[in-house]
Amino acid sequence: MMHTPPVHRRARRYLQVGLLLLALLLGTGAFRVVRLAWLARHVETARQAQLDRIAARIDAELQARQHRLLVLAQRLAQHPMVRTALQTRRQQNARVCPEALVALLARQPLSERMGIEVYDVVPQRVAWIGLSMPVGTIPNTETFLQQVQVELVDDPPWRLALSLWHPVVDSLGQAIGAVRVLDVLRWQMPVENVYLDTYNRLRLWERELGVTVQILPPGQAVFLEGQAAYALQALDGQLGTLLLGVPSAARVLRDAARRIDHFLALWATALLVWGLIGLGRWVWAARTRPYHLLGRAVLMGLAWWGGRYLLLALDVPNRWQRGRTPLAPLFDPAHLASAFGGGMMRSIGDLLLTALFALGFALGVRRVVVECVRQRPATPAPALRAVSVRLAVAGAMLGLVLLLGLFVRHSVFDSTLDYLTRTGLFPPRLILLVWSALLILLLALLILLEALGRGSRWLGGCGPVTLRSQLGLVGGLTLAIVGSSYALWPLDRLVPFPVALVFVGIGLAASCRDIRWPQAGRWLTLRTLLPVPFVFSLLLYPILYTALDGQRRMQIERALEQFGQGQDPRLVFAIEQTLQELASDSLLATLLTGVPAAPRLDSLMNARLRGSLLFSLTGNYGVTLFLFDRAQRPVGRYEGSPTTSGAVPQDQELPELEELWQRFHQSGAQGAFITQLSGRLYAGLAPVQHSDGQLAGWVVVWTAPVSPLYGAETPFPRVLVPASFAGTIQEGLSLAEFRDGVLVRSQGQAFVRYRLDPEVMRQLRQQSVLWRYETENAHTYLSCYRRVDATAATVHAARIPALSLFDHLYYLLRLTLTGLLLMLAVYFGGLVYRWQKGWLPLPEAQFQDRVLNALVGVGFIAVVVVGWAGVRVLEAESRRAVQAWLRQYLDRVERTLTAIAQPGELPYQVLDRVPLDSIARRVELDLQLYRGGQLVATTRPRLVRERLIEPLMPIAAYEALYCRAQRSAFVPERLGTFAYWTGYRALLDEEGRPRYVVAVPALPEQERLEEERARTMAYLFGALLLLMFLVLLTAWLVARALVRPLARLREGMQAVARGELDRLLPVESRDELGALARTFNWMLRQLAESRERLARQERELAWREMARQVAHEIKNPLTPMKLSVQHLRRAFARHEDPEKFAALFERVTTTLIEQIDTLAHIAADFSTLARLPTRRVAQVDLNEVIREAVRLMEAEASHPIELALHPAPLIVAADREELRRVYINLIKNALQALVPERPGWVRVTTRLEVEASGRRLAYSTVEDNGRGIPEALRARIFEPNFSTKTGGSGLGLAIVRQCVLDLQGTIGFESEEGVGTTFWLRLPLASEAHPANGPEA
Amino acid sequence: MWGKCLTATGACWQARWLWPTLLMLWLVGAIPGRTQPVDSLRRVLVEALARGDAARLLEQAPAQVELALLGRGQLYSRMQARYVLMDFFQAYPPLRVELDEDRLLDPHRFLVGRYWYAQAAAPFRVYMRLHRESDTWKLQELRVMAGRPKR
Repeated sequence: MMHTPPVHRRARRYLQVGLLLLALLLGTGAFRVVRLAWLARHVETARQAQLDRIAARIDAELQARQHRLLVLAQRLAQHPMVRTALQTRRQQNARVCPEALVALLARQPLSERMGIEVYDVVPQRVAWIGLSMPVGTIPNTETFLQQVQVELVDDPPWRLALSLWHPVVDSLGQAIGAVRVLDVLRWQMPVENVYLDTYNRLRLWERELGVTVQILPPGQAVFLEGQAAYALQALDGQLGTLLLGVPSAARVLRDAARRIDHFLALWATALLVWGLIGLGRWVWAARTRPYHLLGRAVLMGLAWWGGRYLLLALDVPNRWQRGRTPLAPLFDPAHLASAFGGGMMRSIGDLLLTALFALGFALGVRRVVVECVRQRPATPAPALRAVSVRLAVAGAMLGLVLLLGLFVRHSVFDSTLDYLTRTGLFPPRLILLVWSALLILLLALLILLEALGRGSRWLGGCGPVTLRSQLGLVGGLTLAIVGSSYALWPLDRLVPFPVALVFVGIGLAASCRDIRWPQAGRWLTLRTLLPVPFVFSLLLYPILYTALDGQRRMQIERALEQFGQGQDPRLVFAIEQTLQELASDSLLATLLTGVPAAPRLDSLMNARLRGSLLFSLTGNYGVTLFLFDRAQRPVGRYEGSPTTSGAVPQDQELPELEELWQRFHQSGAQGAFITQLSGRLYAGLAPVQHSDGQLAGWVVVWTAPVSPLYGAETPFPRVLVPASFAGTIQEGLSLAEFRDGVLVRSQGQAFVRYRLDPEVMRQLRQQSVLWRYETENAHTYLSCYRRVDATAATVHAARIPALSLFDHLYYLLRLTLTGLLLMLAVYFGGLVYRWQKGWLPLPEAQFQDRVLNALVGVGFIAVVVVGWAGVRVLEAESRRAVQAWLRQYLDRVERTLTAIAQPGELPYQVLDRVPLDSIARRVELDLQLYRGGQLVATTRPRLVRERLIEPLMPIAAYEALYCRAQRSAFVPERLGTFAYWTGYRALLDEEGRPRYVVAVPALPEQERLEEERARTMAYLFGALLLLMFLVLLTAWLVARALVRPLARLREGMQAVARGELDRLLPVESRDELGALARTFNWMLRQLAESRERLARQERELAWREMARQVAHEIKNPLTPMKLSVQHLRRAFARHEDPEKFAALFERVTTTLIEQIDTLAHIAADFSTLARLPTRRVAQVDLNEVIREAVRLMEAEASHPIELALHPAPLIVAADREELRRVYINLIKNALQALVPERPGWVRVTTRLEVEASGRRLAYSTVEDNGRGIPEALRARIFEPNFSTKTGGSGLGLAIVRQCVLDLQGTIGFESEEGVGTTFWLRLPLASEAHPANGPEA
Repeated sequence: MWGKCLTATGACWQARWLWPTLLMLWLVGAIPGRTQPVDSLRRVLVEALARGDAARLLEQAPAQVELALLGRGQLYSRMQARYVLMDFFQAYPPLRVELDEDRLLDPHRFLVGRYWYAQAAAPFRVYMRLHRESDTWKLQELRVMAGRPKR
């Protein structure tokens, strides 16, 4: 009966799974063809089904949102506190503050896109939290306060939200108010940056579902061609109408194909993974044949990277998440995307995946190299080969280092992420992911360098033996390769020269030294992993900074270029285009001619301006549009995008408008006229005409730049600057123009001198661009000068603050923290791995590890506690500082109001007659004014119009001022994700109640404070991490100092166990450990004396035993000799027949000779045992001696003798002949121990062994797989005259042992009966040994 | 040239450097475009837009391009812009593109057009700004905005 081997079974199973996946792939492909063919014939049905599916999907999500709102509203409506508050309000005085209700709402956890309001029956808002929206139509319905009602509330163009009203009823079932909950579906931001991000669920649906999505409230359904309408269900009826763009037939087919392609991609990915697993096994199967292994590994490597590109081609895994949060940013190319490497980093997610592929590749390469080295250890090679192989490998190493540099550079240059932002301790999430990927790539690089180093050692020989020559070789080759490459090409733009030297040096060092890593169970510990992020950050940061510096320089150059152009060309074109279009707009002309109806005009302007280039520039420019009638009277004012209307120009705009009219009239222009009014303010004007050419009115366009450079000229806070402005240079950029060395115009604060440095002028005559680091007023700047003409008469210059040492530390810390997070992931993964391997806890714990663990634990706890306390203190200090500022500001406002107030007038009354803007200008602050919790005036109306500031006072401030009667309140608020504080001050009326509340937001201070706080925290944690590192280092040193004497003591005791009583311990300290060493040494001396006595007795005994044995051995042949001689004498006395006598004589003499030979043999053996031969000690290579012994034995060996010798010579001090006899003896024994039942082998190995004390030994073994030594005989194996063989004298192993002991070595054996025996020898190397000299030594 | 070179010597300098050059081009991820006259470039840009070919569209672009696709304006490197545009074309597959206006404000040239995409009847507005640098026109900016109703 035949049995299938397990390996065949596994292969068959592997094939079965592979075929199954292939069948799935082909089957899905066939299904795709059939399905698409069917859909092509039934496209209408498919289209309808697709739309139905999309509508159902959106409807289901909206229903789910409504249910969530219902649960929240129901909970509040049934809350006793809400009921009590509303009942109290109804029964008593509506002006009493519902303190408990306000406090209840203030405690509600709420997302930033939600709002809760509580109304009385009027309905009047009683309490609120979160965002606010118009009340909508529900309060006007008959069923209001009778049932739960839901509607869509639009606040065009900014917000669209679900609004759910839930009635609040008293114990009698009578309605006493309502709870309203809001959930935003669309929140349009006027600008987008790191803090402000538009949320548009409709747009997300469009991205995910592939059709346009529009939602209209009931009654607003407008059926357009190419749209399908669906009714959306509300909890109480119809929510609105869902309008879906009807996809074209091609689109339907494409979407259907895309859905099937997701499955195809899944099967293809699974097949790819399965194929790679199979390939991996195939490669590993050749591990015993190094060259085969290498060949297969090359194919595996190609397949590995081919697999990566296949995933890219399949768009995996991005295709499965497209448009879905929270993974969407990971694959959004707007954050990072590069064509470098054929798309390997076309998004952050792909970069991460590529990094993981690189790590897998590096680990694979290392595994292969290690296996090759294990199978065929490196041997010495000619110097030329050693150098040339290492030179080639060093070139490859440099290539890999530069490849990492390219990855880093592209991750910076092909990215819109602001790596130099200072927003907190940890980098923002996406930057953290990018840096994680780069750190993984760095890890892969280091592994590859080590593997290449090992490989070059394998191919190019072991290299030099001494440390000095190793350093010389590594240093020389590194300098040669890196130096020549950097001399030929400007590679320092990628990787700084010293960093490249370090990397290549590390790699080459691995080619000269045999690196042994501890087993995984040991290095996956926290104490081992903890230093890794520090080292990796130090290695990566210089490369990262090189790229960041390059990017900063590029951005400066671009800013300089724009500065040189003087004006934004788009602006002139956009103004001109807008003016021309509006001037020829007949509908506008008609509206301007009659009495303009504001809603119609607003609608028309919105329609005309939406999608225009001019209004797409808002964010970079503030755009305002004015309409005038024929008599130049203002008709309308529009601002922002989408447009918001206001009827008349503001006061501060009137002078510029007047100037514009003057210039237009002076120019004599008939059509559109564009001019630069002041600074960078551009304005255009054009007459609006009827089709018959008759004047209908005027249109004026006005643009002003929004930029951090012009912070003083614009009411736009810096935190609201659009992300697109000037790349990622957030602040501090200054620009200047010099003519003939004299400053003629500048922007920013950095250019403090009006004359150009003559040295700069001189250098600019020789080169067109000059970069310099310059210090002005104790600030260091990176400056760029560019000559405009060949003589450098006109020079444009840009300056940006240079990164300080603290900045570098800050970014280095962020990188380290990224590494620490990665390290923690590795550590926790390692915990699972160690647990699975049974290494948790390790079977044998080292005292050093335990000491380290304890100290690291204490250090870690100290760092966490100090860090936590530090953060709390910083936050408290930050809060205190902001509140102190705000209190001062509020005091200033109140003092100003008091100063302005007329006699007998209260401060609040000033606000009734003096505009808020006027007061704000006096106090030089932004102000907001509230009445009854409602915003009534602000110096930043635009922020309110654009819904960046809520029109309601925050509930916490309301509670403090109105309910708890506090004078001031300081409340944290948010602008997008930017948190800031606002101070509120109640201005009391005659009755002592708050009439107005004036508020001062601390936006600019908060920006500065946040940045300082982030930096301070970074420094704090940087210092703590450094402390942690020092604790770790100290712990390591202390543990080592503690453990070293113990280790010596252990070695000493082991030496005693081996019989070495001359290994005295050094006494290095006066403490208990020193006393222990002294006691040990005393004990050794006592032992030595005892042993001497014992030895003397043993020798006497031995000599007696020897004498007895000699006598016995001699007696044995003497008896036959005596008998033979007596026999001969008797024959001679009898005078026997001469012939008989001759025969007898012959026999007797032969016997005598034989017995004499036996006596001689016995004498020779005993003389050898007694060391009679002369010993000639010299320095001999143990490996060479073993080879000689093996050569001698091979002639009579019927089995192979394997050699696995240390690659380098192992020089010992010994008699060459004697040492050879030792190994011949051992090999002969091993050969004789082999059994015919199985193929026998004998293996001789050597290696270098270094004891903990640093003493170096040659360790060798003679192994066989013979019958083994029975347990009962092992104790006597080295005794003289003991043998298990019938023909042996029993002195061989005794002689071997004696020789080894004379060489100050040790010998022992391990044996298992039926399995084999291993004899091991430890001989001190010649440089370490003090051999027991022979007579002539 | 290659044929002659390869047959004459078997491995001439150019042939030796062909693969390394191609490898370098693959690594840097882009093949430099040819200098084109403005009319030709205009046609190329419109065709590239209509085909949703991001690589072709950016062939004549400088190292940094400004893209504003439906409101999200940003300065991108050419390599990044390629993928941003690919993503846009995937979300809004083009049906056709028409050029309405070509204005020269030396050294800039503005191309204004409409972009019809698969999901909707109303097109997007497209603005392209070209800049002339040493007699070479380069695409410096591309803006796509939600279209307004046709007048």
